[in-house]
Amino acid sequence: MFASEVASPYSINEATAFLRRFPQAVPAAACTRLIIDPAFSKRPITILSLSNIKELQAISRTDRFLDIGACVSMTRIINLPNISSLEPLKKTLLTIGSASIRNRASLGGNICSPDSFGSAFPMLSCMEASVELRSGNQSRWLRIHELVSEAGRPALPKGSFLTRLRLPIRDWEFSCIVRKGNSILPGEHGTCFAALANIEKNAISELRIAVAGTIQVRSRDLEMNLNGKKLPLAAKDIENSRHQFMETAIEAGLAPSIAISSADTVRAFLQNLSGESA
Amino acid sequence: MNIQFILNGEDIQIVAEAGDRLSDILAGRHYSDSVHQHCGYGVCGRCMVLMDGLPVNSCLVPAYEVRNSEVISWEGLIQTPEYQLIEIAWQTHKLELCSFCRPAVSLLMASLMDSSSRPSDAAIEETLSALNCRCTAPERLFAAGRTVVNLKEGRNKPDVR
Repeated sequence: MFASEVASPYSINEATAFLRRFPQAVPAAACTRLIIDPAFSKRPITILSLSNIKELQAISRTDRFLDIGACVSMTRIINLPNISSLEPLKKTLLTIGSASIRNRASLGGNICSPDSFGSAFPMLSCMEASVELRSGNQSRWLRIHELVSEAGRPALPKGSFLTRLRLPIRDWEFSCIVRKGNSILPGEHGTCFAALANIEKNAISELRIAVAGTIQVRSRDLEMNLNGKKLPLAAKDIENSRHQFMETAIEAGLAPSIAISSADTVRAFLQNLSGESA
Repeated sequence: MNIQFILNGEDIQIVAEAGDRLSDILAGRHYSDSVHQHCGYGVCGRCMVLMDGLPVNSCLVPAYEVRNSEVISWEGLIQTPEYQLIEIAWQTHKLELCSFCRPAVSLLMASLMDSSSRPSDAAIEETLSALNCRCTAPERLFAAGRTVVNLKEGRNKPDVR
């Protein structure tokens, strides 16, 4: 990594002031991803290091939400006790790197990777997380899917940085996370599949499915179609769902081989859901 | 940029590029012979150090992040009483690791001893899996890790499997 200049402010206001003066600066937490990104190895970059800002290390909880600072390490989140609604996210984080990487890597850094979606993104999308962004003197909350452009690519607004992540406190009966391809950096050949489901009276009461790599795919039509279906699902319903997801993924721009592989994972998840609920 | 940090209890002041990797600094400037820059992606674990008490891959730590932190490499760890317990566990389980894996495994085991609560079996497995070690079976590493924790807690009988 060729860092020509580094600013390490101690407050959010200092950080926003720096970003106003140097809008091309790259906000970074622990830098575990930037340091191995070939895009940053040759051209000089200015880094806005957020790791000294205490507010970004805070975790707070209300009855309805859990707020996690952007620079909280993955290990700290995994070690949070007694929050059952956080289990799908913990399961996801355990698939990222090794324990020694997660000791430094932050959830905020994973969400804000510029070229492709981090492995936690699809699960956070399924959990309907929100993010707080700061730019200038303003802060604003966005739903996480607003960080996805119309073309399905990462779209973090320029000149802003992520300060907090808000997760609804809500339990999920079934969760699934599957990583495929390059396990170091999600790129052209790496994707992450995430799914959440709840079951009531032997029928799917809520279902969310997302896949993310260089682009994110979430088929809300498929989710709507399956909501309310009785379990076990008919083989025809599962095959139709697989086909529908594959078509959506190809239409969204996912490479056909990855779209087929993701659709197969959708089928496997639905088969497991049918089997486990039986 | 000027970077000050503590390495194995000694104050260190160096001049380095902000984006230099800690592993390059430690190995390239001969501060530590046990730190190896091998994969450069945090996969192999051969560049393991303890940074502010936590095991980290030093190849993923940029120099500017090291400022004002405390770094312990294997050379520092072997001076501590904790290392004696690690040695006992190794002898108990007859572990023979190569010179690449030995320092990293020692540091990971030291981090287990520093845990605020008693590490679960899953936590021990997870911590030790940070090193891609092919010198011995993971089950034997795990057993040694559990023994280290038991010894630290004053349970004199090592957990032999």
